[in-house]
Amino acid sequence: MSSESVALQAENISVSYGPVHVLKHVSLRLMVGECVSLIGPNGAGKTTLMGALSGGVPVTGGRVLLNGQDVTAWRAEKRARAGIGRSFQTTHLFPTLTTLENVYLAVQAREGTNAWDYLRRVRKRLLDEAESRLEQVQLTAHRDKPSGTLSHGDKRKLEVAMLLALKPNVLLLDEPTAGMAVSEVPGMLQLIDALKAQRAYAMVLVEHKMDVVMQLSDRIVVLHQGQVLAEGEPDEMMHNADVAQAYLGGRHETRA
Amino acid sequence: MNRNIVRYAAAVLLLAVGLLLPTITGGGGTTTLLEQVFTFGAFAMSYDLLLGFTGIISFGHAMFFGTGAYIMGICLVRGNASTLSFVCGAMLAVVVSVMLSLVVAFLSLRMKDTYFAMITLAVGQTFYVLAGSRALQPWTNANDGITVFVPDWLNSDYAIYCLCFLFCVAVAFLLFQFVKSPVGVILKGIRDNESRMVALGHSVFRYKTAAFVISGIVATLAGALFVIAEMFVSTQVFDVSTSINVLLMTIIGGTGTLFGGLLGAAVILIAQSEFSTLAGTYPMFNDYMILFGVLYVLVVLFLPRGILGTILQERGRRRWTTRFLNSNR
Repeated sequence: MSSESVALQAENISVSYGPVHVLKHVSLRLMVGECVSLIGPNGAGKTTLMGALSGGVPVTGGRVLLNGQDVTAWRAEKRARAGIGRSFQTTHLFPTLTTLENVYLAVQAREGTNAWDYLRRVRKRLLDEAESRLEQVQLTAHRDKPSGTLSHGDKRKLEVAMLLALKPNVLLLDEPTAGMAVSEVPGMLQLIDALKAQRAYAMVLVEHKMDVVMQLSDRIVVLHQGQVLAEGEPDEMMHNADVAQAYLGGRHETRA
Repeated sequence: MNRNIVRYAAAVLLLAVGLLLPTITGGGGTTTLLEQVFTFGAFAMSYDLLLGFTGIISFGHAMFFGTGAYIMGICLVRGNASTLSFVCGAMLAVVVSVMLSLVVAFLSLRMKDTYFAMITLAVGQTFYVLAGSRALQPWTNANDGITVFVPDWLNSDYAIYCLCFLFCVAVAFLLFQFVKSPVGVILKGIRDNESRMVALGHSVFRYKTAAFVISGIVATLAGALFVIAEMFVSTQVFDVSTSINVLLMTIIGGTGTLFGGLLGAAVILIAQSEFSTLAGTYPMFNDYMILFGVLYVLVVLFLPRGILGTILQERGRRRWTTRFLNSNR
């Protein structure tokens, strides 16, 4: 796959909850190996757009294309199996299951399960993979602990391990550093940077910390009141008058 | 290796004690009580598969138990208590339970917890009404219930006891294998965080349905054995109180522990029978249900994990502490 091919495309996505239009004709194009950041004030529709892409939020208009295939009608679990991996704003684990079991569930989701697998000792292989994924994020020591008892930073690491276990080609990262201690942020950034360097993933990043956004993004999309306000390279965006105004408040014209 | 031998020995010993129990406790009432414990124990374990492992609360699980009881009862009556009618009854019970659970699953499993509980309650009540309806009297004998005769080879307290005991052991073994299997981990994942399971790409609805069907089959078979143990079936098996009872057995024994259901069934049924006996001498014990109410409140307050759940938690805690101490040495 060349780095020029489109991994994920959103065409004219609209999402409404009754009379409330959360997203109005939003279009987004994501290349393989590219990292696009979604920024915008609270309530701009960033997380809703992530949901529309991952299938968790039903769209009221528009199409979502994954590798050129129309996946708009697919439910979240089917899109996940097709390669859209999503991380969540708040940690979103299986708190009473052990750390290993958490990763194991992700590995198993990717591989699928059918009754014959148990006879074929597939389980052992999946467990081994889950172990090695834990090792990657240095959580092996906690493998038998209920994941609910991990520290916040470790939970975040576990999230990443689970996400990667899905072997996705699109990563939707919803505030990966939210709630992290300052000392923990660089580790997460390194992890995401390393993923970016592989050029195998297309990434959508929602983030409030501007330094993180500037460091990681190839392109920035600014959402405001459910519409794309501006789109472009990081430097360009930083000096865009519309963007500044949207963040600072006040009257403004939206670009369709 | 050594540990395995100890385990097998313990299992064989337990099995032997279980099979010889009626000869120790003496026949009659005690054996009937034990039969109830084992049928309700299997029923409660099937319920724990939903409540404790998948995180689904059903208020209508009695619909399966009652359906099994009625199918077996009607088959035995129509077939003049032949062995064939017993086998047919058991097979029919399985077939009907699969169909019933699939229908209820498709009607309700996509709903959120509370709505699901409401639908199961409604469907369960429908069965209660149907079983007591005049229109079905030729089959169900309406509110009078059916007196059932069993095949000759089953026609002794001990034979019926063995059947119930072995059924309960088989259910415990199979369900334990099931919850330990990869599918069991998936069910626990659904219990913990359903939306994350979807985000990972698991077909949550399919697994919930599977759990519901398996639970339904076991509950139906437990009902079928219950009617053999009691030799009588009435609309009581479909009553809401049956569903509530099995819920409480599971909670008292410990949700998510599987064997807790059996323990809870034993505690509640034995206590019920003891209180009834006491009521013969002391009339105030006629209202033992009040004591049960107090017991439930105490369990929820002080043992929220149930009896077995608390024991397992303590054991787990001790293991962790010793491991921690050893690693620090």
